[in-house]
Amino acid sequence: MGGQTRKKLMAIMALSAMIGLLMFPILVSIPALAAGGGAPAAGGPPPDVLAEQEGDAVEEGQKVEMGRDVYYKTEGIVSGLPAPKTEDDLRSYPRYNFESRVLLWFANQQHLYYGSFVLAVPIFCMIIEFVGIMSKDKAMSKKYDQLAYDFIKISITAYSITAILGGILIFTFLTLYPAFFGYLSSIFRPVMHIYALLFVAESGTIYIYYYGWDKMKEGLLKWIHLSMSVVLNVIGTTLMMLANSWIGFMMSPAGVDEQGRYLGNIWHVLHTALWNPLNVHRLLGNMAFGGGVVAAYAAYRFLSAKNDEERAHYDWMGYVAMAIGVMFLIPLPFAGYWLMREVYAYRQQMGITLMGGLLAWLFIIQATMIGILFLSSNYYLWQALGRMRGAEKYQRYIKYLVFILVVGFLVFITPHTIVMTPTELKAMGGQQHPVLGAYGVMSAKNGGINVIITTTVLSFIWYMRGNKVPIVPWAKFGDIFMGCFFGLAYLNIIWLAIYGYYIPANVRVGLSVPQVVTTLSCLFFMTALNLTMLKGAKMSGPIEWGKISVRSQYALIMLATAFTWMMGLMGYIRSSVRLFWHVNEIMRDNSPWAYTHTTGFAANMISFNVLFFWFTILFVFWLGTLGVKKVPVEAPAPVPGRVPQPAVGH
Amino acid sequence: MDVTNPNFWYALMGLSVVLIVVIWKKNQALLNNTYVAVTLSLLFAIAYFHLVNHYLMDNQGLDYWYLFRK
Amino acid sequence: MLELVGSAIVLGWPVLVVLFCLLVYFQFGLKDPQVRQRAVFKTFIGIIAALLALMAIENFKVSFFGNSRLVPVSLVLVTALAFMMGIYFKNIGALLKIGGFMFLVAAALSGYGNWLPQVEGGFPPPEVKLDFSGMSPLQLADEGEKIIFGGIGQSRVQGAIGKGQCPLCHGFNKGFLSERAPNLFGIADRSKERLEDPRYSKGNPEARDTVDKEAFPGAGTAETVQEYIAESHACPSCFVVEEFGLKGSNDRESQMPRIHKPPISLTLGELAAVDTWMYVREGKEPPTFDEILASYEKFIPEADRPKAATDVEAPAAGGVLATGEEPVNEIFTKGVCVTCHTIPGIEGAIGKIGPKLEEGTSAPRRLRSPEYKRSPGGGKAKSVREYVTESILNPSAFVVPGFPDNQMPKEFGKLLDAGAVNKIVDYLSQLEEGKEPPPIT
Repeated sequence: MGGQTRKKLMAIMALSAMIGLLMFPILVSIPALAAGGGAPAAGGPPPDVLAEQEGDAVEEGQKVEMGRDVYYKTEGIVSGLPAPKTEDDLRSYPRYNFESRVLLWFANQQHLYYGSFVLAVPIFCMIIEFVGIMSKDKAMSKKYDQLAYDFIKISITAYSITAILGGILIFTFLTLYPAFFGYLSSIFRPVMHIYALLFVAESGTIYIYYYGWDKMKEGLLKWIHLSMSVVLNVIGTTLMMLANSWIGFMMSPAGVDEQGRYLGNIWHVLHTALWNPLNVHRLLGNMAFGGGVVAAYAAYRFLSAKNDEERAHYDWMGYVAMAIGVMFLIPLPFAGYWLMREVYAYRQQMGITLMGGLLAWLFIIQATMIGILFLSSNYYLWQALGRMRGAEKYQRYIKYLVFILVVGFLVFITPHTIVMTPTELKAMGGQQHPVLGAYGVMSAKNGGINVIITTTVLSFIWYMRGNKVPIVPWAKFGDIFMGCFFGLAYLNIIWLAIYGYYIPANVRVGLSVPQVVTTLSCLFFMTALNLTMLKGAKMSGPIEWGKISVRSQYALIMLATAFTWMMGLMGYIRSSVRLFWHVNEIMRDNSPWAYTHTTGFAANMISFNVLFFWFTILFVFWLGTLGVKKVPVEAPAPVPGRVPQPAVGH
Repeated sequence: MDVTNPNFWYALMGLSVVLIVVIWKKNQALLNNTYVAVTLSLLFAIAYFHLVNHYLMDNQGLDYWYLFRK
Repeated sequence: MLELVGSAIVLGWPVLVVLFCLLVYFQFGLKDPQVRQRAVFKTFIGIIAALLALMAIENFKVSFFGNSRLVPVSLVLVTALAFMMGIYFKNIGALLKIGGFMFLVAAALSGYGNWLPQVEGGFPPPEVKLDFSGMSPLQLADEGEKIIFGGIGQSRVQGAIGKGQCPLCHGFNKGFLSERAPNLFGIADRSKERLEDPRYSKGNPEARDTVDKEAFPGAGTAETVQEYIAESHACPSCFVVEEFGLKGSNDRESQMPRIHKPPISLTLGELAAVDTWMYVREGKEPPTFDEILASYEKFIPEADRPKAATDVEAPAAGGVLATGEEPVNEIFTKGVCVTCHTIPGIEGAIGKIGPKLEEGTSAPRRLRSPEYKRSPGGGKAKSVREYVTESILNPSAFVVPGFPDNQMPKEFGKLLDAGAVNKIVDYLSQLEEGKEPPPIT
């Protein structure tokens, strides 16, 4: 017993020591940053391309020059070099006989896909491990634990690929865009070092977390293990936020003066107008994306399964992954809406370029895809009703849900204003289509997406009740109450959408908030009410895992592919809204590729990236199955150590 | 009776909650009567959504009742 | 199609040859008829799949940078081959089907993207960094003419207008009509007189009765001709020439915007170029660049000076002010409509030189009026929209009684894109007396 206690004590100490060690460099660097010690040019010009290019401008004089922050409007001491003025030559833009931008696009996108996956999976692990610990059912608990372990195993291989891709990305930047990257790294020098240190910390934690899994599976040690996953995710999220600050700076620079000279306040540089909306949007997006990838993995294993046991396990795994993914998919449009609002607040012109100008068609693709994502997740849930006894009572109503979804979808994708040629303009008789234009305004669009999301919530509630019959005495009242609440929620959303046409725009913009809250009320209150009603409910039959239709698995794959595609699309839109700026309004893109590609080209490029990603991630999955044989099988629904045939021909 | 006043909707919501509780205590079977259940639920939900609309617009400094006050 | 097959074969003939040899080997080398049949069949499928794959690659290569929009065809080809292989190669069937399905999804989305109208963002306007300080006075004057009129030699063209938008209100040539603002011919000589004008109250800004007493607290008044010009640009309401003040302000307030502020936002260098042109064209010796700069620095505080990064060459003559992508209030500002017209719902649109624009109410009234029918300009509008459009594009078609003709520039047809005009017309036609203005879109 004494030995046990000592062991636990040691483990706690080891964990604290580890956290301390990992955080040490960051803690040390904070005071230095606060004092402006990390200012790019504090110790003379940075030894990079900049110095060569603008060398003559450096020794301008020793007098203290003040500059004005382009965003915060505060005064600061100029302590950096101005953004280099590039020219279309081999000095600023060395190149192969190929479009540099496309190469960079490819490198960036692949790194981002893997990065998102690697950041999302530990969050999953944390959730699932926690659920496992909390689960009272021993068998279930073990099953969850095994699932979390499977996840982290996949992500370990992906993790090293992420690092490799990150290296490739940096080399691509350095070799093809030296002037730009030199400038960016001169501004973000201290941040980039912290980033690198955090990456080391992340690696350390993830390896201990993974290899310590078996050693730390009992009692207190398990809790320490779980807390390690929390540390892991804190580091991972910080990493993502730092990386976001770079793109935030490129879109909406702050902390520099009009010539792009650093003004000594690193927090301003990090905390740009779009940083926080980007952080939230990306975090949610990563989670939904991670859910999609894992669900696709499960679908692949389900479809290639050889026996019922395997099918049951992977059916369950796909379901869990999908549920987590959708859980984060639901708030995603709201986060996106916030981001757009901030974009409009930052530069109205930028917002118009996005929604009504050059990139508007891409947004129509995006709207279509959001619809597709929700439709496929609904479809999956409906199919999942099929593996339950007693779910027939809901299945016959699905056709009405389909109708509601389709109507909501059509309203949602109808464009409002679109950039047009004068002839097209004349043909249509104005910027807005006489009939369709009326459906495209924001309050109607919001109505559409909220109807879709509310329907998804309804589908989910039906799914939860699929094989259960509530036996609480007020069951009938509860059912009616729920029905009325949903009905009125739909009515309220539609009413607000229509109401928007009759009131001025400045009042109308506010309507989206009650619409969203109506949807969220359904999500939270009705789910809670449903859970209360189902307490001790009579089971009309067990969930027959593995009995789900094959089509449903294709819905999962659809979900995953569409999500990957949408991520590529949104990334492209976000990036190209800067038009011909490397750093918006600070550093101009003077390369031969400063124009914006056609919609079709972008779509092709995104498809290429998506397919390449899936090609490689399937390889990663295959590697994951290779390791299985060495792990002693002990889970109740084991991952069987079979020959990994599927990947042989790969 | 001023429908643009949130207190009116509070009163309505309160009424429905009180009725639900009272009926629950007195006669549970009555609560499961379709007509009673529908009436009470609608009462509650209508009041609830009006409050949502009112307060969330109010928070943004906007007036949900714009059209009705004009 | 045949071409594609041909080039695909050229591209991957070694693969096809190997597969074909295998086929021959299986056909004649294998003994067991059942095994042989299966092997031969699978190899045959393999050959077709390989050909499809090669065609996909070839099509991809050709179309990737092209405008044919045919790249998704490659994805469809791969989908087809994956499903075909999936049927016959059962051991990796799941993987092939999943892969095929992914290709299908990607093909659909790519196809959708290619099917939509193709919008390509053109190259940005070339950035020509103008270094005003290093220019000779003549070069500087040329740049000034470009800023005012949009091009060298454009100063004699009626209606030519550049980034500075000055000719919207000012006349520049001797004897040219200039009712909204003083004609600027002979400005250098006249400035001397103005400095001595008691209303100007040189050296004693507190005594002025204008809205702005000084450009900024402590700026003082102009002492030289150049400083007078600089002050007029930086603080139009510091001194208003008689008869040119905002209607009803009793010449205490000017309708001219501060030129270094939006919407015009000329930099100090650009202003120096403009001023130099004014001297040079009259054959006068201009002050040096640094002197001019110093005169502006006296009246424009450091923080208000437009950034040098906007020292981009002004769009060439004929460039449009607005394309219709901007929100309507921006179009009104860019077109400087706001200086002359009062437009409900548009911030800053309080001009009183032209009629108040409430076209939803006033246009029908005017269309019915006898004056419209016998207007010498020959108004032809039948509807409100037509009336508004006509008034923008051809202001003299009908002049509202009580307002002088030839006040409004006649070049808006050239300065605004169809989209912008449409937006303005949309907005103005919705304005009605005593009603809330429509939302700004």
